Amino acid sequence: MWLVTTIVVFLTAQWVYKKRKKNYLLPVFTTTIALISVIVLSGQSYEQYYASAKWIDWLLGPAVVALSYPLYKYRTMLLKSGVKIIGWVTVASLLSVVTGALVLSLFPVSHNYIVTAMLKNITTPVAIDLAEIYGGIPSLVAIICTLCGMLGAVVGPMIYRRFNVQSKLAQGVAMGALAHAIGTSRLMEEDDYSGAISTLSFLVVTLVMPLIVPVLVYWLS
Amino acid sequence: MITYILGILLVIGFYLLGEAVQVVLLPWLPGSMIGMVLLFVVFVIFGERLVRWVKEGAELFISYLPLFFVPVTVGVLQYEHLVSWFGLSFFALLFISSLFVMMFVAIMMDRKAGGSSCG
Repeated sequence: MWLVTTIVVFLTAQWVYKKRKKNYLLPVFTTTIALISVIVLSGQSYEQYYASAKWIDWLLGPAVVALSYPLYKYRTMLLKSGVKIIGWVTVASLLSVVTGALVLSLFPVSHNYIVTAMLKNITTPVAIDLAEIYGGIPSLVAIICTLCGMLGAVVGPMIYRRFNVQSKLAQGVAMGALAHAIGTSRLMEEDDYSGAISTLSFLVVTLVMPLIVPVLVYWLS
Repeated sequence: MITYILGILLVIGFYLLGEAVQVVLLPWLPGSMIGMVLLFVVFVIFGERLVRWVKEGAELFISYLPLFFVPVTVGVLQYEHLVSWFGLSFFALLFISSLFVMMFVAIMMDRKAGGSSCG
């Protein structure tokens, strides 16, 4: 039942989005709000919802695997910009940790919240695993990564338009480095080249962060 | 039609392979990402001969990518207790940090590219 509802709500949201073309109407965002409202109003729990919708969640795995196609399609261009992408993703990851977790550590906040904050821009499944390894709060990490991803997917394109960011490389790296796979899916809508850059960028994040986070965790403790 | 089905099955196959590799070898990386890298390597090895069979199925998955996030994003509803002063300022700080870095990186990279749109 919830499986069908999710698909119907999503397709409706996508239809509205295509008609209106407003960033805040991003289907993943509106669908989430609509479904939460319906679940809460019907007095059901997330467990009841997930029991039926888990098949959609399962398909996320193969969908991530499918991202290897645009990576392959643009492999020569990605290879050419490889050093630049890795360099900027590293800068973005360091800045993200400094402006998030280090600012937070100035306040009397318990250690596991600070570790949780460090993981905010990593793709959700990896972030959950890293939270378990470094002493973050896995369930809180899941929600923060999801929200940061959605926020980036909605606000990112607004930033690009407002500041006239036209380079596909800049759009892809900034999106992939901060809004991981959810942001990538937003870029894929319009252009699979910037989507491929974004895919590579969120992969690089998952390789760079395990080098940054343990050092900071050690230094702060 | 046949290329769609073949592509979908192959993508799912590589996902299951990635999950298997995760269990046996790389417990700290999700199976989907291992599968992605494995399929990419196989694409590079076999080239266009293989890619044309997978292309359409892969594109179908990607066009519905946002839908597959929904069951996880709806999970936010379990955290209503984070609607507190601490929770809200915690989230606000992390959101501002993310958007600031995104803005900074996008603008700096774009200006360095010398205004060329090809990137």
